[in-house]
Amino acid sequence: MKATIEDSHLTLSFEEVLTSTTVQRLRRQFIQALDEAASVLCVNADISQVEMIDSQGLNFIIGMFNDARARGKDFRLCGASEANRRLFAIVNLQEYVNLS
Amino acid sequence: MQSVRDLVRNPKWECFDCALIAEKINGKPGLECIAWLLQHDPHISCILLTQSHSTSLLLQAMRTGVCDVLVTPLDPQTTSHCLERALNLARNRRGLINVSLQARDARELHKRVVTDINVSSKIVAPVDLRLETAFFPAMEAGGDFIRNFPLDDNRILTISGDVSGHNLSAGFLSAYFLGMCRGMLASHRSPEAIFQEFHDILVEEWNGNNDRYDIPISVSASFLLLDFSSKTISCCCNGAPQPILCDEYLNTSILGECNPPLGWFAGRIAKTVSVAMPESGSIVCYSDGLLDLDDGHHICPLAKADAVLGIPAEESATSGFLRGQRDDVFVHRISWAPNHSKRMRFIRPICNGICHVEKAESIDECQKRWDKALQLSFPGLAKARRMEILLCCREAALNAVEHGSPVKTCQFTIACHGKDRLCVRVHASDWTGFIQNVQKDNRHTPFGMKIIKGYADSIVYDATNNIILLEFLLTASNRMKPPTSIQTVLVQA
Repeated sequence: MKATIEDSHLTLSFEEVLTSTTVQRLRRQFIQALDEAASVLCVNADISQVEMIDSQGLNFIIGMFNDARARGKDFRLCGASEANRRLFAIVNLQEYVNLS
Repeated sequence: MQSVRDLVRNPKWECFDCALIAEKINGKPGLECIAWLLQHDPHISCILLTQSHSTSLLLQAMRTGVCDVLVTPLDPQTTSHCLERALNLARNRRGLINVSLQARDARELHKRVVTDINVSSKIVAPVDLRLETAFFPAMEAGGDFIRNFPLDDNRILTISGDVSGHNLSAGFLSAYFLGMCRGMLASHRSPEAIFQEFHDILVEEWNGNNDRYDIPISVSASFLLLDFSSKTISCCCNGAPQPILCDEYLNTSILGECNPPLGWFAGRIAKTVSVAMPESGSIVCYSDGLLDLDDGHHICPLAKADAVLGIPAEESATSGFLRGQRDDVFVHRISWAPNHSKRMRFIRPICNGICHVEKAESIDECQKRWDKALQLSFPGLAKARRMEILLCCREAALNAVEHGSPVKTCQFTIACHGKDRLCVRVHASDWTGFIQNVQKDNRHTPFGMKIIKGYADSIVYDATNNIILLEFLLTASNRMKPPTSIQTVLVQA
């Protein structure tokens, strides 16, 4: 996961799958990135390079949203592929997360 | 050059094993003449005569195909050694060609002696039957074989084997064994008796009297007897990979017992094991050459077998999948289904195994295995659809073990029903209770079943909730489909 800060926006670029085998490590990295970017107002999660998201990956996304909101920051999920957008529609992810 | 052309056209040309050609012939490059000569007779040895010690000339000569270079003035001893080497080289090449042609003739004779009978038309059975065989030898001569023998009264016998070695001896032994099978079957001897007799011959006569070989000759052989009257399948496996049976509920099981090859140890051959024949099913047999294919990628043998069966017979070394094969490869798949049944069609199992979800990486390894199997068996399947199927398989495994199983494993089978229905069977090794109704709590949203219901075209649970069967239409495009059909039935475990 790469983290960049620009104009009060923290952008997290995910370059691997979001699945049961990766989310624990990614969650630690996400929390660390949030701690190091206390002053940002918005968190963008770029998932354009993510090929697969399983149920635990979806829960990770919801977790990122909740953690960002708990710290008073906006959260946006961007770059979803057509396949991932279809997945989000199937599980009604918009009930949990603002999708851009 | 003209005189060389005339010489090559001479019927006595094959008497020449070596040509000495000067660097310049009437002002023209001698290497051109050599290149032309080797094009017409690749087995002749060509020696270049030159006054030059140039490295570039030497390299060019080697690239052209000369076997040696002699620098003038010629030294008699050096010239004599060079000529001797060149002549031996040519004679060895010509000798190998003859052996190869003889091996090819032997194989053709072998085929004529024991033809593979089209048995499906000769079987009168209350089922639709399909027999598929693929055989890709690694060399001209060898001992792998697979043959079907229709017996009377609704029985079919398949005998397959792998004779150690890839030479004419192996080919001869293979032909001998099959001829023996044919003769003894005509005398109504049982397959067990045939195997036992051949094993005794190998141990006592062939290997017992043969002190030429350090390693005894052995035959990894198995037979499969399908009896459509008594609805039984019998298997005797001696050193060969054990066949895999898959029924209409995608239960897979290994047939026969693991035993040494014929010819190794004196005594009894492997025990014949019989099982009940399912109403619809498929049996896959293969040689150990299949296991070596594409080694290192951990592809399921069922997937490799399915891919090999799909390779046209005229391909072989050119086929990407068979490129670099080290051993003979044969695959045989017998499939049956009730006559005219639309519900049960021929089954093509393409992957099976156990997923140990307690190790985080294990499910990724399983997913790679499933992915390889799908790519091999359905190369035209859109990536998006393939990823949907993989995601469902992953969620089924996670769901199976996340909600109760103390053992944290599940058995998987992936198979194709008919032309375009892919079925995935997940069986938890202990009672788990697949969650059928999605429930939310504050800590965890169970998306797994939502995903499966979103992508699978139908879901069947068994009454005990230990088994889930997912069905996917492979021709389905990415579309918002109507709600998945969900049923609960009794599925045999």
